[in-house]
Amino acid sequence: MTEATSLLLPVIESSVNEPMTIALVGNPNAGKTTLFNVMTGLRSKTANYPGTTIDHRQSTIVLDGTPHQLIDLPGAYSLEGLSPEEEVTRDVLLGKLGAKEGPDAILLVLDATHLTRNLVFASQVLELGKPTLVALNMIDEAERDGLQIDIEQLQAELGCDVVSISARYGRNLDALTQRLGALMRRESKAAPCASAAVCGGCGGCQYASRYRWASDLTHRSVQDSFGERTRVGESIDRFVTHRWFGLGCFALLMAFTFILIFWLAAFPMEFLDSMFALSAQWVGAWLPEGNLQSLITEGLIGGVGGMLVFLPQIFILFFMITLLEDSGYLARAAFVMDRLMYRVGLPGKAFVPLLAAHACAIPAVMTSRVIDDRRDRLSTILIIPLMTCSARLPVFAMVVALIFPGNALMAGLTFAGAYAFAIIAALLISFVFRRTILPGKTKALVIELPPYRVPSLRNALTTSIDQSWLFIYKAGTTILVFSLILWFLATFPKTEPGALPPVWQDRLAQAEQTGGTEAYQIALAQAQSEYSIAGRMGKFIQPIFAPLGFDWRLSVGVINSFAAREVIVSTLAVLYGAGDEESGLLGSLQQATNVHGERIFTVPTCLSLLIFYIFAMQCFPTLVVIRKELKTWSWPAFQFGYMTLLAYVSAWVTFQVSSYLIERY
Amino acid sequence: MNGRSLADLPAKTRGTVAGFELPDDESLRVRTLGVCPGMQVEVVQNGDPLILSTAGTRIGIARRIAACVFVDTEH
Repeated sequence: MTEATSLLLPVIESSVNEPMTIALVGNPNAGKTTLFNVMTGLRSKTANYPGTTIDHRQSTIVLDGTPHQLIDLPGAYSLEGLSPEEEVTRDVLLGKLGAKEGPDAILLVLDATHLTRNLVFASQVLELGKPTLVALNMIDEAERDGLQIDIEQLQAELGCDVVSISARYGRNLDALTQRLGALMRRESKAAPCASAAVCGGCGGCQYASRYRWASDLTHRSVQDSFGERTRVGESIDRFVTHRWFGLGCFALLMAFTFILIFWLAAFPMEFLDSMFALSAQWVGAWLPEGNLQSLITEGLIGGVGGMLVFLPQIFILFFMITLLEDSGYLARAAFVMDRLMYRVGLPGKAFVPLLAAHACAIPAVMTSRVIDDRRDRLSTILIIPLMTCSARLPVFAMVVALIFPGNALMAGLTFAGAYAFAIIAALLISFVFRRTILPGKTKALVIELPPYRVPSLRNALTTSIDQSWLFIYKAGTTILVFSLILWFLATFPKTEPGALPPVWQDRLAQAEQTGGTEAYQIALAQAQSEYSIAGRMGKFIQPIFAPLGFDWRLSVGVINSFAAREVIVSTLAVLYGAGDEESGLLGSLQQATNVHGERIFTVPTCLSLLIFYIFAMQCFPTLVVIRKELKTWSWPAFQFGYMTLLAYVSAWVTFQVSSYLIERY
Repeated sequence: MNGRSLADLPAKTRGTVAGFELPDDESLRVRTLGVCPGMQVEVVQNGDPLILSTAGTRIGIARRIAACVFVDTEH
């Protein structure tokens, strides 16, 4: 017995030993994320510290056979914590977040082509006195620019090891990991001594002395063999930041991104859609007919499929954003947009989340972190769900096909109009918010314009895979739970055919006579959903939606689409007796009548439905993600309130005005 | 405050930062990026926002901030 216990001891011992942590820090644009990606591949995990919403990635790397935890901290220009991201970096380094004594060591990434600016942040990091290794990144680019950097000199003055690398081309990475291993074994000089060189506590501006020190050190250690020259970047900048050309350039690039998101993504989306349909069919064939089969095929596969089908768009979106960011263009786009967006109380950087919102509001909320100021970010998040996301497209397509059957031109114009209408409304609403509930000036633009670089496809790929996972992780559970709840509401209680009222008995018999078993099944599904909880709820709340021209079935659709907007289409297909096939839906909708025999989908009702879906916050998963971001339910609750009210009032006005006009003329 | 406002400088003008008339948080933001007393800056492109060159990099800066940064120009 004692033998067994003693055998167990070393195991317990090793699990108590936490791996040592290495913080990866550097200026934005120093290539920190690229280095993290090549050092860890796709093994990283995204996490956030309790009490913060800024995610960071971490991964285990093995140095000399020992696992170490590498933490990728947000890029920062200083340890002042001037943005939520910089705050996280500062707090982790100072031990206010995460481990009490801070990370065990620091891997500091410096951009060799912009040494002065990077050394300013370095001086603050080195003053922390932690074991530090400097990775002098983009050395290939520095050499191409004719910069010769004296590594020995830098090492001597910084008081720590310096390894020149190119993260992008994988140059010298072995040497880097080797030196990192040596640092962790405490074989090389531990505490750096650069602090002696900088007078941080003088009465004047500490940044003035830091910059003086940094530029002196750059002069001593860098030889510029080309001398002063006009960089290519400057001529590109003259064009892309031009008052008018700049806007044209922005519009072209955004149009290109849109085409990729909607045209290119359609192929994998169709594939995914058919895969899910196929697996539902396959499972349906295996399982006996009944509640379990319905739960798995409709609730589970339907719910998961409904979410995953958007992944190609989200992937392409993040891929494009990463490419634009790495190329240096994203900063210019924020620069160009700032002048326009400032007028409605949004910072220039808000264009990134607003662009993303056209694919899906959830990744848009995730990317809203690029905005430093909390109030600016809040006003951006409040209007994100107004952008026309992909989930609205099936609803729009249905409505447009009902109003203009077979008229492609008018259908296209209505679509474009809906997009533009949503954007204009969102900007107006932001304008109003900034003068009422979110008073105060929008933070003025101060942004580094990094040099133009050819972006790395590999890095963009890694980042977008990572972000796509994050989307599933953040929204997946909510979407799944919601679709299961809605499945339950739409399925139970299951009224047996015999228990249906006589009107339905007649209709069922008639359906069976004329259309056989298939028609009977469709009619039965229609009858059962009318008597399900969802159907009863729809009838109960129908009076609320009556002024908008919605019948009880449309009301059910509105409730059901709260899991995801596009669900309304499949709900209506069942409720109007079109069966599972959506192809027959338009015909069924056009013929649908109310108890008085009047057509339901008249032009006013269609228009009202269109307007309602432009404005309504019909997406619970987005609300959940916003709550996660803002750490409070009050803002998402407010958002739900204002958007629903806006949707209701505008749909009501649309219905009343168009009914009046049609009657009159 | 001595010197001319950054926003008044034509493109391709260099100067040395003399001081600010900005709230603390705004001034800290520009100072961490290298627009701090004693640093040489060059207006690369004037407009709103305008482009500055300092410490070997270019930064975009809103005109209303640039208007409150004062520089001594070279003669």
